[in-house]
Amino acid sequence: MERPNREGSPNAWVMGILAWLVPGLGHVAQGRVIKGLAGGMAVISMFITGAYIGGHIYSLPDTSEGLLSSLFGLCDIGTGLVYLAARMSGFALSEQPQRAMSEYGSVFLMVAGLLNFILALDAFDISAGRKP
Amino acid sequence: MRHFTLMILFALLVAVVFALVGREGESGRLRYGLKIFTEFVGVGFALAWLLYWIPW
Repeated sequence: MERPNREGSPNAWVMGILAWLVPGLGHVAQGRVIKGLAGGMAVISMFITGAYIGGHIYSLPDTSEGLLSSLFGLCDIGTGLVYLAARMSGFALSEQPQRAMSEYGSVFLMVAGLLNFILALDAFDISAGRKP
Repeated sequence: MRHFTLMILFALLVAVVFALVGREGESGRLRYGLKIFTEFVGVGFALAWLLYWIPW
């Protein structure tokens, strides 16, 4: 059975952007509450763990580690408003090389962003009719 | 927090998201999530053993 194609519909974009801004909200807004909550909790847990063990977030104009820093910043931005709130409040901004697992922490923060990008694309796909 | 605990937590959280996105239905998700989790932990152990024997 052919599914309706609503890729160009504004609703799909709204769902995708909502899901990116607040982890899980794109699914919750489409009535998939458990999926949204579980996904959002996973992303936020990943972010909090990363910060807790000493990781720090990068920004796009950051060049502290060459061009890779911008790529890391792009990954971090995936957590949407969580990233913005962390930047504005100064949370997890400074590098803590004295802590043994700070590098892992930064990876956790980046992966949190990447996972949320996946969730946002999934919310977009569902709203666009590409997924059941 | 120990490295092993971190690896388990990482595998668990990634497996949750992959299972939610990759499969439909509870049992399908559960099986897929367990598969992803096991693969992450298994590959982690394999790499750890491999790196142990590399002297640099």
